[in-house]
Amino acid sequence: MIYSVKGGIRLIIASDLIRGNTDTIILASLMKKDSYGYEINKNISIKTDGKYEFKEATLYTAFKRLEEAGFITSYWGEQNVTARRRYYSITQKGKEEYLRLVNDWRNAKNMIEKLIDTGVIENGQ
Amino acid sequence: MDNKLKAYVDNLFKDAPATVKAYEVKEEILQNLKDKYNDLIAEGKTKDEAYKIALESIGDLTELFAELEKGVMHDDSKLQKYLALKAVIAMVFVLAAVPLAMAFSFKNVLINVMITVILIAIGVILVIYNNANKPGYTYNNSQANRMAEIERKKSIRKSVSGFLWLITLIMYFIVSFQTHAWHLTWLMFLLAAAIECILNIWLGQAKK
Repeated sequence: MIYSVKGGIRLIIASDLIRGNTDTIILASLMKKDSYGYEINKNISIKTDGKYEFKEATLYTAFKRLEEAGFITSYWGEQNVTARRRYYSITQKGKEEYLRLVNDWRNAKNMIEKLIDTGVIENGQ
Repeated sequence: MDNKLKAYVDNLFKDAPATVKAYEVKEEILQNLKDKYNDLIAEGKTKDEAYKIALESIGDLTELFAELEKGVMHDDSKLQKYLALKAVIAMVFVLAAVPLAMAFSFKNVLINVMITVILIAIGVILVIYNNANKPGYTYNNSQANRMAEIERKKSIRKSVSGFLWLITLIMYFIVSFQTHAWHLTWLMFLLAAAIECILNIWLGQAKK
């Protein structure tokens, strides 16, 4: 998942965590407007200061899975003759799934924070 | 460079399932890579660097192929069940015709014969209809194949129609000679015309 190798092993761990939330991230990027693969990935790259980006394989596996589950639909856009782009659109069911997934993530995040907090870092050790 | 990317992606998709979906995904990924490549060049990367980074962004396609394959098998098994069910219904009509007619055992032999003929007719029409809708491959939707499909359906429709009129004619003579109600039996042809209309709508070919 790592686009640049600068971060080394740390980035690999972060990238595993992010990959576990692929569906949430894709649904989130479709909440405001319909979008196509490259645009979604580019926005993710911008938001993470170029530190993260989905591989094409990961992105399209997720698209197919989400489409199968009825969370997103897709259609061919027609703005451009040379570049034919397929747009993805979130469904009502997908929006509900997004809210559920965000809620799941928040709960997990809170739990993990409690579990790993030893007070060491705050005490300046 | 576009050709180089295309050749590379084509090669990667050699093992992908041969479906429209897989083909479209390939086209999408190729388009993304072209966009990425052009953006990288615009950022000042060299051609070789841009090409290398674009290829690295593809990742491992095994899981994607599995996902695409799943869709195919899923569709197929559903379709198979549906076709099997329709075949069974058609066979029931044909096989049940004689015993059912005998079970009613009307005094009038004529009615028994009529019921038998009608049930067999429905069964045969169902069998023909089932065959008409047994798809070649669902993903083979190129223009040429679609034309062939339309031709095939047209010929099937003709055979259904011919069979319907033949049955009607036989019924007309049997009923008429038995009942001598010639002033009424001609209505069967109107009935047949109505049935043909319904069949055409049912077969989805009302318009040529």
